[in-house]
Amino acid sequence: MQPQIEHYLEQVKGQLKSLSPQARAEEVREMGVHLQALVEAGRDAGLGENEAVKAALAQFGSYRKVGRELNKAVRSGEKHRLPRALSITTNCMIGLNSLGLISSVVLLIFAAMNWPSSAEILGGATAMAWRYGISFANGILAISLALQLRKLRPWAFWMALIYHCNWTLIGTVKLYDEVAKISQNPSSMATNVFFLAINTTLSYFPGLTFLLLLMLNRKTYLKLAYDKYKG
Amino acid sequence: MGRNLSKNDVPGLVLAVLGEGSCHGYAIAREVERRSKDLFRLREGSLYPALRQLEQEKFIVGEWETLGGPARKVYRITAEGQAELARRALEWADYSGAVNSFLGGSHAATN
Repeated sequence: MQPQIEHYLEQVKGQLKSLSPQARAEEVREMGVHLQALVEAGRDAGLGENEAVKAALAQFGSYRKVGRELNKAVRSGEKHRLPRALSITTNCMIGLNSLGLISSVVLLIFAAMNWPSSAEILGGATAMAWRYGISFANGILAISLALQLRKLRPWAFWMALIYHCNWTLIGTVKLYDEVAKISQNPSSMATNVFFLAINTTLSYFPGLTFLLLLMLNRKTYLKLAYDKYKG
Repeated sequence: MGRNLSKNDVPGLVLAVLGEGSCHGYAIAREVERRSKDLFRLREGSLYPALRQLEQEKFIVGEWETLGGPARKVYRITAEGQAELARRALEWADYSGAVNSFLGGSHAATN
């Protein structure tokens, strides 16, 4: 194969980030065969070797554009085959956990500022429902995700365990809350806020870490989804 | 003078070519040019993304074959691809019919 063509194919290969190494090699191999056929056709039409190679490469166009379009085509296919239920579950978890993480950061700031009065706000009925609700919903979503993807079951077990421990912590927080109310002790109130911060972090952090890992390892995740989809 | 095809048109033309029989990438590109009497110039750079998209959508399948020369990936249309081709053909007939009623000359307008 001509060095210009080899160089071009290497550049295209470098662009194909959303493809597995095997798919990348296959893609480049197919293009190589095509380019060779174009060069031969150019030679048959009376072009010199160099002109024929140049014409063949011009016919393919910029390696960046070819790579970009191929990546896009592969990604659109992945989206197409991703089961809907899986996509809904994941999106719900991302939304819920992102909101949760923001609220836990706010709580940590309150705790750091030793702001006991915040406990009154955070201990209110809406905040309590939010905390219990999120923890419960996260557990359900984790189980749902694990049921859809068998290989994620060990993860779901650890997440369920953490959420269970968190429920125990919620009970402790409530106890502290009652004690603080009775004693009107500012330091107890601050401790209470600190516990709340840990509690909320535990509510969202495992789920978010889990999702972050899925995002970072998107190809594996999509492959798992695809295998599941294929049955 | 040839016209470069829009990338949205490429998958439909590829399906139409494969509807006539199995082909490899190079032959698909040449067939598009031949059937359009060199009016359409299919840039190879837009052919492979279209092939990949059609493969992902299961409208075509590709297999490596060696028939007395270098190995080539030969594509054939699937049943889903045939259905998609029929759908696109119907859609195009409706669209071109509507455009013809405006641009098809005075006969089209009065008929």
